[in-house]
Amino acid sequence: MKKVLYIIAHNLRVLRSDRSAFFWLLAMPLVFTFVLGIMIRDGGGGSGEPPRYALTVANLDEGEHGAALLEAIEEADEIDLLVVEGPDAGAEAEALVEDGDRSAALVIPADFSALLEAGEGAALTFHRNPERMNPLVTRQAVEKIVSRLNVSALAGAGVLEGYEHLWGAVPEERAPELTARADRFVEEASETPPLTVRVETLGRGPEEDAPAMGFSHSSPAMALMYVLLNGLMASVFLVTERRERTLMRLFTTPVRRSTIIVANLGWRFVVGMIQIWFLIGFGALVFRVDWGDSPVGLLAVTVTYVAAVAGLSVLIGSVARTSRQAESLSLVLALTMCALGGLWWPLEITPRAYQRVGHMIPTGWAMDAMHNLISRGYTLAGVAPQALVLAGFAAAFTVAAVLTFRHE
Amino acid sequence: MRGDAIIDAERLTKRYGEIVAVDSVSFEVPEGEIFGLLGPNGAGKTTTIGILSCLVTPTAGSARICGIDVTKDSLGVRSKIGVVPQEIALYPTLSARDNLVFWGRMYGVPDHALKQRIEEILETVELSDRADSRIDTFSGGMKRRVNIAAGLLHRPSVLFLDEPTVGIDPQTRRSILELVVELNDHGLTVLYTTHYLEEAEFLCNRIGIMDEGKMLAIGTKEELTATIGATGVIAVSADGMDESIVGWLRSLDAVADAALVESELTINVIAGPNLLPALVEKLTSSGAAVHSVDVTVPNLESVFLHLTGKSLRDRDGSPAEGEPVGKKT
Ligand SMILES: Nc1ncnc2c1ncn2[C@@H]1O[C@H](COP(=O)(O)OP(=O)(O)OP(=O)(O)O)[C@@H](O)[C@H]1O
Ligand SMILES: [Mg+2]
Repeated sequence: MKKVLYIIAHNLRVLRSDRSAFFWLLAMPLVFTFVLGIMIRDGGGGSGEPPRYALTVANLDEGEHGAALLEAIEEADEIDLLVVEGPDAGAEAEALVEDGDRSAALVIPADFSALLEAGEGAALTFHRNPERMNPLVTRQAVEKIVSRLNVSALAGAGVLEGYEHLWGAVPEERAPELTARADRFVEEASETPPLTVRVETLGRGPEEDAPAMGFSHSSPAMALMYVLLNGLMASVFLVTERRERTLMRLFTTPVRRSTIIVANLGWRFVVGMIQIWFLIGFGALVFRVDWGDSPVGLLAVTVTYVAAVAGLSVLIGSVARTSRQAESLSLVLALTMCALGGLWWPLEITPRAYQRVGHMIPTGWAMDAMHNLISRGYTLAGVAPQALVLAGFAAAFTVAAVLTFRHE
Repeated sequence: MRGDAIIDAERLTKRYGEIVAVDSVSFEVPEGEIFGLLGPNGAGKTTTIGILSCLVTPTAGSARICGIDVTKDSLGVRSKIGVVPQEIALYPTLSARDNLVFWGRMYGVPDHALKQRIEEILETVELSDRADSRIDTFSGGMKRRVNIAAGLLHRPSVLFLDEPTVGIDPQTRRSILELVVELNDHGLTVLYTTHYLEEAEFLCNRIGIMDEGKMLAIGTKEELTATIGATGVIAVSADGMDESIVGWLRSLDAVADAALVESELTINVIAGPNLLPALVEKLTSSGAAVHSVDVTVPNLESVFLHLTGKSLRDRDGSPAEGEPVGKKT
């Protein structure tokens, strides 16, 4: 419908006639992306040291493998270790976690070394308290260490096996030397351990790429935040159009009500899309954010998210009686949804109840999808659930907006 | 007449809860006429226009514009009418031209004709030289003229003007009234609402007098003044009058109606013995300080007084007494 496009173009012109719009839509989010990105690069402390995560370890194994694992954990920079000892160490560690005194505990079973020496797999138990922050991060740090040990063990076994194959049984006195050599090899090979990627997702990457890690959260988060904030604030335009009677006048022209509503959703959608893709582009070029391998996935997420914001904006504009009402409602809703949706701090580090609330609103799902794309490298299928939920929000807001839309 | 009436309203009623904004209003406007809806604040003028332009759904009754039912084919009706709202319904941060482009497109004026139409209309409202200035830099009168221009772009069959001269200076007022006359000379049918009786008298071929939602009388100025049975009007301006003087006047045979609004006393006088000496005597003896006494022929004010027992002049807003509103061509 031609008139929809005319009304959209007209509203963009009205928006352009307001010189401060550029500043609020494009410049502000960049400033905040930069500030938040720098802040969370340093783990929030600004001390320059990587953040440390609390982990309690109970080593029930008396053998060398248990000791080696414990040593590896002790060496890990990111882990703030508490070792509990004694015969009841396992139960003690569990109790600490259950009471919420510690967020996570790792129990090395008594038969750990024995099982490994027998060539069988051994299971470590990781206890976590979901009500506390951090357990996911801690678990990932532990998994990283364990996986390195796994590789190391396999490589060591491989070297010994190769020696046997060539020269027969390994002489007792040569074994340590061979094992050490294998370890060195593994050490080199695991400079880039396979699971470091997962740890990066939480904003703490390897030293040399540290700044981008902060931006890979702040860039999508601030894009989502400002699209929401500016988008909801655009509800004021609808109130102004009613107050200044231009909307009423529009209803005296031969234009359908549906055309007017679609156009009102439409121009907000267009502005939101321009804004979010500008911020994505800027993030990629200037903050060196890697937006993942799925432009289609990113498109699906941005389209549904911006549509939800546009729907909510028209709804607020229809419900609010005065500009001031629309403004404060928009501000309160936008800021609450930013905080609860994990735009200011990752939802992954929040308690479970918090995460549940975060997934009752669009921002939580949008941020999830962004992390899936950026950090987890998911494709369209990986963000389809989030995109569908966002589309559901968009549909619900739009229906409510259509029902409440009025010209006086 | 039913067949060739451009506006045909039949027992239109609009209720807002307890309030009856429009109460069984009927009228017809033939092509080429300027029809006035005259009434004080809250009379139901805007609501009537709202119903006729499909903004307001009537509680009862029906209306047709160019034979199209307003409740059945709103888009059809809207393409026939130009509506100029009581408020300046324009985009203040856009230029006059950009505003007109937008409204023209909304009225469905084809792009190839639009540019030309806008030039013509800017010429008509004498704003060609300010076409590219923002509306918020315009004076009140200039805004009013653009407000009217926006309703003319699609060459409507009928123009609804809702109190287009509220709050502007006499000179701009006159230019707007002249504009309406000019448009009408070119064949445009106009529905004009006002609470200024001078405007209605000057502009309108026929006038409908409304009060509290009801249509009290319809006719030409001459028809309306003939109905009241008064031959003269006495207007007294004096301090220190009270309602007792109105009571006394109404008891006289020579008085058809009388009303007092602040220091203005209006009396419809029936032919007969001269009332003036007795009136002046009564006023001075009651201690009133008389500033002026005017004797004129009956006008719409007298009609309104006759119909409602109230004065149409509200406490402010009305143009100054004796202010010429223009010269009818
Ligand atoms: N949307 C509405 N809701 C409730 N009451 C309304 C509404 N619109 C109008 N009214 C009432 O209907 C009555 C007629 O109003 P209307 O605006 O039609 O009068 P008017 O003759 O145009 O007055 P004015 O000269 O002040 O413009 C008034 O009492 C008004 O309060
Ligand atoms: Mg009105």
